[in-house]
Amino acid sequence: MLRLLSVAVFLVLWEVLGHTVFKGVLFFSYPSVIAMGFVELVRDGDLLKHLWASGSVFLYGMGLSLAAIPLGIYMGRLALVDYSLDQYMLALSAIPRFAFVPLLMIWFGLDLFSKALIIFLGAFFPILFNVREGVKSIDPVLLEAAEAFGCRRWKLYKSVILPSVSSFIVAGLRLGIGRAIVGIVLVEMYSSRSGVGYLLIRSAEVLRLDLFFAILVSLALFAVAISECLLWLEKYLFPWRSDAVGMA
Amino acid sequence: MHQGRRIEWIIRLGSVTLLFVGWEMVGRLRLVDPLFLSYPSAMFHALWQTYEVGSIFTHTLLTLWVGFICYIASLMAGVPTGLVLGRVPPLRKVVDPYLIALYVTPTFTLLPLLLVFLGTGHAPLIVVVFGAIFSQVVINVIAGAQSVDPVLLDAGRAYGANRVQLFRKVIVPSSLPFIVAACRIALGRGLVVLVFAEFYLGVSGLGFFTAWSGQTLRTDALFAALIVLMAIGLSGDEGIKYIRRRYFPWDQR
Repeated sequence: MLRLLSVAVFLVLWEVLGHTVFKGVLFFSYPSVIAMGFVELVRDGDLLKHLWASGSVFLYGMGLSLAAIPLGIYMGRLALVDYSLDQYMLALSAIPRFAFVPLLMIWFGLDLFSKALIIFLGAFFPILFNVREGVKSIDPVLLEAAEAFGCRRWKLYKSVILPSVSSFIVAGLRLGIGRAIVGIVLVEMYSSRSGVGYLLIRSAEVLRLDLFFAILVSLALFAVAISECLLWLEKYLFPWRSDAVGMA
Repeated sequence: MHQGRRIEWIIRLGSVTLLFVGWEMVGRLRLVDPLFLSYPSAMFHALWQTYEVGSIFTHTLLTLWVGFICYIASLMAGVPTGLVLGRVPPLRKVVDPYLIALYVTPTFTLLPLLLVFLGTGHAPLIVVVFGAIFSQVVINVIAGAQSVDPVLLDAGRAYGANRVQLFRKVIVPSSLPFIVAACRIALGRGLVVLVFAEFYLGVSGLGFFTAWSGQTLRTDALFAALIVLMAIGLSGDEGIKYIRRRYFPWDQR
């Protein structure tokens, strides 16, 4: 109740300020105008078009980062692989991913692929570290029992390892997706002719603050919706894991 | 066990040595144009060089300095805010929606707007980085303040502790692990946003330097800057992990 009241008072105050004190001020926008801006964006098809452009890059990058699942399983299973790769993974994940943009521009130019790689850099490591953690936490008794019953190679992966790490995969995905959304907006803001980030920059540059806020709000809602869906999926699929775990 | 550790380190060091030797050879023998890959000795050389826009060293100091200010400021503002909000439920309910809004909105998207309001310079940078970590810190510290064992609070009250004493002797110490966790998350996220802001605004710092070296195709300087960034990120993270192990050994989340 208090929450709703707080939001309602805030919105009303904002609206009133827009109509009175800040009337006609260029750098000011208020809720009703922002709502109109949202309607305008949807009617023009701008929002949908750029969401689609961002979405395809997002899917591309997330697809690439799924490579973290087999790699994470191998790093968890084989110490040799873990010890020879671990330090690079740690090093790469410590660099702010946006600093790779100049390098990616030199290597690939700034097209779809290098944008997808930025998404990849954001999403890959949380998935990798979570999956590796998951494999390492499998009860060795389970593995031994499976092997004693003649479970080998594919069968072992399919019936023991994958089911045990699946909840870790989803936890990693949830973290990764959050970072991927941030990553895509970053790249599009810096250098792009399409996508939500570009739309955001464009509306700020022409001082259409109503559009700017409308995009920002839809972006935030979009991110929250995806994250909530995954959280729900996690609870639905793995109800025995009382609290959602994950390592950033 | 001891044997196992030794083998682990041999593999790790061997893998790193192999990478650097191989990289150096690929660069020196021109198997790949150094324009694309550079090589370790050139990167090492670039670390000490002074360019038109200054050396990597000066930009590192600038990044660290601005980062440090933002980090300390957001902790000094965020920790008390979180503690108070965590202990005063009605106030929290009022502020909650805005906190969540700040949390889910990628703050760096406000950069173009802040550019209009605050102009170019360090002001938009500081505001954005502050905004990015402040909400993280507050939300984590609220969780900490809420998780204080009520038995401890009751015991404190029974021994006649007043509000201030309760706060200082019970609430703050038992939320300390959460505060340290908040510091760690804030460090990683703050660095990402800081580098992007420097990159975008093109004022100074390592973010600006990577952009500049990329545009002028100085790959050796670019790689050197990336390695410095990596060192900053890793040592910050390890430092906080060390504090956690040393002072909060019971908190092994």
